[in-house]
Amino acid sequence: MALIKAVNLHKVFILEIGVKKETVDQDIKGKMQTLREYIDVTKSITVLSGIDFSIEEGDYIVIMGPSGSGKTTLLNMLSAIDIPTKGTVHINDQLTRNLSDNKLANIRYKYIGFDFQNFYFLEELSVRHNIASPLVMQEEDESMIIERVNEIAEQLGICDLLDKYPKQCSGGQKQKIALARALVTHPKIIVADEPTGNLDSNNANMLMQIFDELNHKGKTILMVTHDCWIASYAKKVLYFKDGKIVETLVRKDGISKEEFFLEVLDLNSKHN
Amino acid sequence: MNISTYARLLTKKRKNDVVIYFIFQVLSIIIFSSFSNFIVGDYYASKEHLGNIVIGFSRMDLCLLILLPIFFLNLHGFDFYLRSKSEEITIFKIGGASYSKIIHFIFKELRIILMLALVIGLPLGLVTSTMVMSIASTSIQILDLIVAIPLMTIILFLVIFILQMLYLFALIIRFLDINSLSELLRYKKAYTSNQKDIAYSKLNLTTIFNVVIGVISLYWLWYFLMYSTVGNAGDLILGSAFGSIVYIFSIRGVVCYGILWIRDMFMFNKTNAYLILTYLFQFFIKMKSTIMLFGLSVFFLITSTLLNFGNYTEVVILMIVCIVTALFLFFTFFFQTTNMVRNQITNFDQLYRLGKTKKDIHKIIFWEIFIFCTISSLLIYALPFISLYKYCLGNVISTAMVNLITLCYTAIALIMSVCIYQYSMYLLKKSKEEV
Amino acid sequence: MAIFKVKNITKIYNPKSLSPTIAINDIDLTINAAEFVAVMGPSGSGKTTLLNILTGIDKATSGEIIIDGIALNELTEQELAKLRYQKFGYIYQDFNLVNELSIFSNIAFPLMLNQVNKKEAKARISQITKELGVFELLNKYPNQCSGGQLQRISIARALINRQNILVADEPTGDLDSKNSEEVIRLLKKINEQGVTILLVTHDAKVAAKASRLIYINDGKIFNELQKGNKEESCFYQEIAQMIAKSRIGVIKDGTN
Repeated sequence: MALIKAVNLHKVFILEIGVKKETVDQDIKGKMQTLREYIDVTKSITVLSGIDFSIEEGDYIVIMGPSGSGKTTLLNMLSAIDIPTKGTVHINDQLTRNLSDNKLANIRYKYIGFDFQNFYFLEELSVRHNIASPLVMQEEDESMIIERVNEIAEQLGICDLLDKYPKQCSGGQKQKIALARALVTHPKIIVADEPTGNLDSNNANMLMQIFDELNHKGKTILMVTHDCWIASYAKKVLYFKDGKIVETLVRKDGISKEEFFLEVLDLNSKHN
Repeated sequence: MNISTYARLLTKKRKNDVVIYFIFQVLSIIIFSSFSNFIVGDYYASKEHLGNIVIGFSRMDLCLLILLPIFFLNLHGFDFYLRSKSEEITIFKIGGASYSKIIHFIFKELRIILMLALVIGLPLGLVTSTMVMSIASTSIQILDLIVAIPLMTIILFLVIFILQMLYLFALIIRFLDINSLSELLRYKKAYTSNQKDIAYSKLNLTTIFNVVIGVISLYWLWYFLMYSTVGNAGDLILGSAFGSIVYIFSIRGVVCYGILWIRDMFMFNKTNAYLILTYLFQFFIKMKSTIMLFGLSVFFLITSTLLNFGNYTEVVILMIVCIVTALFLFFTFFFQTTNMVRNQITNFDQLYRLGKTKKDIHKIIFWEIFIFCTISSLLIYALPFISLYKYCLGNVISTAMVNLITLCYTAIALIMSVCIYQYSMYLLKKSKEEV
Repeated sequence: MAIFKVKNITKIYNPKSLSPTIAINDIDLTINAAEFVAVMGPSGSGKTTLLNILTGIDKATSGEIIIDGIALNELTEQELAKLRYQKFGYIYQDFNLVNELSIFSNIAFPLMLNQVNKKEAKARISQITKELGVFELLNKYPNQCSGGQLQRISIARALINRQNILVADEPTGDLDSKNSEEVIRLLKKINEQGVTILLVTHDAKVAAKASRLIYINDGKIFNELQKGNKEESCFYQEIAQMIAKSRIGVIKDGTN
């Protein structure tokens, strides 16, 4: 049973409905003249067109592609943040289409942990409170919450930060805190949108090693990035362009990370 | 670690927004307590003994007078408060919290603020109500000057409070509905709709319509003031309210178009003036007309009551009403404007990159705030002042009173513009630190 | 002739805090007129900071910056501001157009600052917008235009004062592939007309259009590549290889 399955996904954003078209031109004297034509035009963008996709448990998938190709929109569809215009998304065999906002929230809580590029912390609360926030909002048992937070903090090596505030932490530390918050609900899949976007090379490598460990322990990872080196940590790389998956690259057993990196680079240059 | 702790910690830390909302609540309670006795109590023997102030006022009119400010205060206060919470709501939604949990959280926060407001507001309200009553007792025959809270007042208070909670609840739901998670997460700059601006910037049907209606409404209000009799105060409120609505909407249109017309003259001469007028236009377009509306209605009320000028003590009571009204307008205006400046902050960064010095940008901010406050204050006060002056000519004391009121009003308007400017500078500095 | 001459610049954020961030670490750089320079590097390497410092928006903690013979350190606030609209044109990833002004006013803004008269301004604007294909949009507002159009409008604004230095910070960041190609093609054309272009990007394909590539990592210049007479696709391969090796860590200094 696939963890997340998407069939024939389409997403259309409507910008304007019924626009009247005006053309501006200059007449002989050089004065600006406006000609008005009334045209019924619906301006819309099809961001995703026909995606078929499935993620199994234990997968480590990276979605790559040029900016504006729709990667974030796809991520939003797959992680119950948004609903597709056409097509279906099943998360743990539950159809997301007709679910209410509350039920979608519940799915997010149970199965998915989010790690974004722009951390989204509550600056007024300590790190411990920030990490615990998903559990606290669900009104779980207090002692359980404290235990979980300590457990995750130890796992990621941020125990000394727990009583500090997000402002006092460096970029790399903040990313670890964001990851801790994603892990605290013991989700099945971690969805990361450009997690190394704001990090320098050292911190980025360190973060990717943590993701590696998590994947070895059984967590499914779905990541979006534009960086080939970061992408080469994955087991499967999907290249996304203009709303479609154009190629899938699978890492064969036995090849080293460097070799896979060169393959990913080739994939990128081929589709550009 | 539970929702209550979070609510407490977040209320403690986000002082600005919370304090403003809190002050509004306190003011509401004070007003309510001060005047509720007039509505509810049986402190006077008969209507003839009421004196000139409350002659012709039915209880419904007084009710309206008190409910209107409370309603407006809460409307603006909460709107402001809720918008500052959108980031928190995003974070909770990502973590999987459902609507009910989020609403639960917001109400826990509100509960803390409202309890505090009650604790401070009620005693203060009792004090002011005693003051009002004792002043009133010099001209009205008050049967029982007991500082007691009759049952009806409590019931009325609870009714208003519950209505307020229901309204807030509806506002929260609407807010959560409108802002879907995918939109809250979009960290790219969102362009806001500029449809209104475009409509006002050309001399088209809309602008012509506004000018015509403006002229008609001005004439109507003038006629009304000149020839109406002080028979039924309720009629006066209604009449002035209606006239003010029309006045506000049409005058605003005229002012906006005027600003753009002047702006185009400066286009290639003085860029500072050009920018100031652009932002001024934005202010007037986005300004909620309810404030002006409310201000005008109350001022007309005071004007029409002063037409029947009599007792010195009655004037003092009216002065209290004036001051309290001015305080409302002050607060609502204050954070409406600061909110609008806050939305412009990214603009100022762009201006710096395009080639404006920091000094120039500070100048622009100062002038846009100052001119906006001046014009708005004039708009609110102009008509009442003219009618007041007209009817108080000849009577030395009343003229002096009117002058005093005008002076106070001007002082408040000036202080307000300075406060808004200082707060805007603070916001600017804070945003630079965060970047 | 050197347009940019930069010596030993360093930029440190929060110098007094416990963990100061060294964004730029002792960089030396010379850029000649009509060069098309691309600056690349992983996120957080200091690209945007470098751009800000070179154009006077931000101040370096130490070091010397000379632009067209003028030392930035010696200029007053007023003169620095003047430089921003007379010498430089900027285009950004998120366009940075003023939403409250019409497209015409947006493009005219640098002209307004430069005190050009209305008639000439109108003439210049119609000429440049016709060349860029956005003439019909002059009476509209930024929220009524698509991404590709907005970027072309930004380019119009950046060149309207006949500036000879164009600074671009990830200009294709928010655009789809078709519009990206269009913008890059325009930049190339502008460069051929003599404008010096300084472009920051993380996209190797965009960088391959330049004549010179500077790769920055952790605040230092890691490597420099010249296009010379190579074909574009060849240059692209070279860039890709260099990035690969920098990540793997084979190269420590600028040798291949």
